[in-house]
Amino acid sequence: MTDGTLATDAAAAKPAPAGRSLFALAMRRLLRNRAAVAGSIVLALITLFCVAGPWLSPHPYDRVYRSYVAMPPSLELYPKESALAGAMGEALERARLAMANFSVDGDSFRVTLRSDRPIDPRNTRYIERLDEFADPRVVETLDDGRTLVVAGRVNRQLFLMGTDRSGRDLMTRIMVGGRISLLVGLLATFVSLVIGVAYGAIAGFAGGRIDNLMMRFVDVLYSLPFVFFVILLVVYFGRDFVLIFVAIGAVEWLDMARIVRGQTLALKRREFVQAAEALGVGTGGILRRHVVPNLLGPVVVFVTLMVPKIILLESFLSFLGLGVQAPLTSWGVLISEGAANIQSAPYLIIFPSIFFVATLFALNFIGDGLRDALDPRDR
Amino acid sequence: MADTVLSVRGLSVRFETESGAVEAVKGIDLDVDAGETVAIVGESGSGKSQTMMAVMGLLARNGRADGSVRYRGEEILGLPARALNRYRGRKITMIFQEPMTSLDPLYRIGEQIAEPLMRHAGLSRTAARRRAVELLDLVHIPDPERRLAAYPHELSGGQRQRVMIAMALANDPDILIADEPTTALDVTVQARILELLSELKARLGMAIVFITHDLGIVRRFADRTYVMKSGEVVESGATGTLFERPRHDYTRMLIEAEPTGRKSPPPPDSPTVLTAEDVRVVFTQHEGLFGRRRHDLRAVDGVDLTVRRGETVGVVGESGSGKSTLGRALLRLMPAAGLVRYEDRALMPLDRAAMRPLRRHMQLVFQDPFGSLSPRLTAGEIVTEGLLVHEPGLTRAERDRRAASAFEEVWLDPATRHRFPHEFSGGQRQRIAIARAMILKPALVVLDEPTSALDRSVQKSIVELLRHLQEKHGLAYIFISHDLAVVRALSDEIMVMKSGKVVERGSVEAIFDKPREAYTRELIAAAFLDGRGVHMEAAAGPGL
Repeated sequence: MTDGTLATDAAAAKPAPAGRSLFALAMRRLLRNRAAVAGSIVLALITLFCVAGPWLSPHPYDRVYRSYVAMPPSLELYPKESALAGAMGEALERARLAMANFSVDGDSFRVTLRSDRPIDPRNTRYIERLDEFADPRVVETLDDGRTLVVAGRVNRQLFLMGTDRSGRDLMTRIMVGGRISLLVGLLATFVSLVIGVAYGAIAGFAGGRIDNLMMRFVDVLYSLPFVFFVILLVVYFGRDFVLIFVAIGAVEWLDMARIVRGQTLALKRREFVQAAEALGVGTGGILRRHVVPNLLGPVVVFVTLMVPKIILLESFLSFLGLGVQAPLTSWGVLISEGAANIQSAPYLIIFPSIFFVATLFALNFIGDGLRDALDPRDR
Repeated sequence: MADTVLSVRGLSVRFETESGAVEAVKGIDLDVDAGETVAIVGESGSGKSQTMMAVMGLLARNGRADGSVRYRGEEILGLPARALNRYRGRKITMIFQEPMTSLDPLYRIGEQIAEPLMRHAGLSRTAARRRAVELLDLVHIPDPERRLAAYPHELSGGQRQRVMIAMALANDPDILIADEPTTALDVTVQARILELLSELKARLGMAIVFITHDLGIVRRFADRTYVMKSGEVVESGATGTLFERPRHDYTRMLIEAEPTGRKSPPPPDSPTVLTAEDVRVVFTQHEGLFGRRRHDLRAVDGVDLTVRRGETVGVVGESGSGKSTLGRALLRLMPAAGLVRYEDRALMPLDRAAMRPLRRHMQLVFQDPFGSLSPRLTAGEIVTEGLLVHEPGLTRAERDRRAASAFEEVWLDPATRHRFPHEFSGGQRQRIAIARAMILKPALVVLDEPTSALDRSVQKSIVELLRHLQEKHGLAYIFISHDLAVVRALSDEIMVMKSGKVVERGSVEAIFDKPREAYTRELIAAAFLDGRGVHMEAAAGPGL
């Protein structure tokens, strides 16, 4: 009577060798959802950026450039031409040498050093130590060594998103932080998915007293304050990356278990489960073949909404200083550092936030799209 | 002819779906005169509901209607909602199939009836209340004053449908569109609702457009009938003529779709498959704050039953009579007390694990072919699931071969076994469900309303299939249904159940020809059996 019936009748009439599963149909619907497709593309790009980026980036994420502390983002190469002479002058001052005749020609420089006494050629180290210059070598020795001509390269660096308060490249740090955040998001979600689905499905399917016991246990865990729980773990086991997964996963599976249990209770009353029981299929078989596959829809949706939640949680932990350890970083840490310098260096919070927000939006759009695509009312 | 109140010309309805546009209604013409009852008959997917949805401007978002719909000469198709509301709900009203979902569960009946009166007709609160009482009285709801304060869940299905009718009548409409108004109700309730409708029509002089798949209703109530098939009107005319001299093959097929024929009785010496004595199922409900007050509901109350090889026992009764519960209790799918023997084994003392090997001999087919197939398995996987349990040694290829032959046995194309349930029609799905039961070669099959969710013509083929399978394999059936036409075509013996008890039992002839109990007579009368081999006066009613 509805168009749905008409469509299925038409589909049934056509000779098709293999059926299109509900999942395949859902995927087709998902692909037609523009927001979800855009979300997927954005997420894929961000993931690629974070995973491949650090290998391509010229800066290691923990390299400190003393010369470029808290540099604002720029498309120009550092050092700026105007700053070169000053930097050289400062370096030579530290070496107690006088500078005469500093010239830059393209990527190479030439500087003439003077002193009252003969100059030790090892003094070029003062120049080398600077981030601006590289490979200084003595090309000429004049006045019995009281005048040296030193030549070398100007080390030109790009800091697209600027550097942080310690002089580390922000873009590379965002990439590495993204790796951590996405990894925590995915792994902790996976942990909670496995525990939650198994626990919830068993509780819901067993029903009665077992269900009651299992869910009261969940309630007890729920009542533990999360931060207190994490601090406890950190105190006992020390700060550890793996601990974050464990802590977050151990808390988040509770939600998953509740959702899965509710769905299982509803599924249990469906006739196909009763039919399986009438066939003599055991509990394991019913759970594996009938309950869990039919849970997929709500679970997939919940997972996409859980990943951003966990990324936020990790950020919160890192913000409190319970998360990853420096120099390793995560988006949460970067944002927390940025927040501390929001007046002097606003770009420190803007750039990590852009990636963070884009990821959250993308995941939420994908989650919404999946929810619509898998909606059983559409069947 | 009296003046035409509704005239539909060249109406077509298209739905934009993923797999392209679907034309649900293909340019139909239709007229409704003042005060007449017009029936639109067709099977599911024929576009009969969508026609009226288009008239009411209630199409789903992806639907589009073209053509012309005139109410007393004024074009109403394609009007914006605001303009349409001058007719909709006032002059043309509609009642739906599902009285459970058409009423808002959060508001009292009185508020739901009075609210549109206050808004549309501008009545004051007290006037609206008075009118609501009047309306409830009109649809024969007892004690209407008190009922105003009731919530929908406190009413029975029939009463809810009466309330819906009362709401539809509130503004004295010219046309009442009834979309399968009795399909979700029990047969006896259905008969009373139909009586009410024809009484109201006579009293208020409105036209009724009756959308239904049930020809029994059409025959009794409609002045004129339109027969629809895949979006087109294939035949129309006065109901009597149409039934006596159907011109179109499809009409003839619909009329003849009533399951006919009888099954041949089993040989007298056939062995007993299942015996049940004094089966009881009691649901205990806990009430009160801590569940201390107990309230026992006897769903099945001391039922005895014997089925022999090749025999069918029909169990009939209204919803809530405990017939489905009995079926499940016999298969030990529900905790029950009493004595049940399969061949010579007592089933009641067995636990779940001990029951498992016996399950292959006792199978169950459900009413709803949409719900009883797991949506994420292919039809072949569904059919062979029982083999995984009972013949675990089979290889995948062997199981596939068995699935193909099971498909052939239920008259399905074996090539379709790799499709998913949602790609089959209702009748095909029910065949898959039957194949799933048959592949285990059971001795007994409990059929729980296997034809109720299907169109008449599909029902007929399912009934034939069941009869064929029974003859071929000497199956014993316990056939649970409220549809007496189907029960008559399939059963040897019939049990009539009411409130968990068997009120009457006997052979098919005894039950249909000489029913002893008033309840049985009521059931038979309500089923509108067309008299083939049954008393004719039972079908005569006020609508003719």
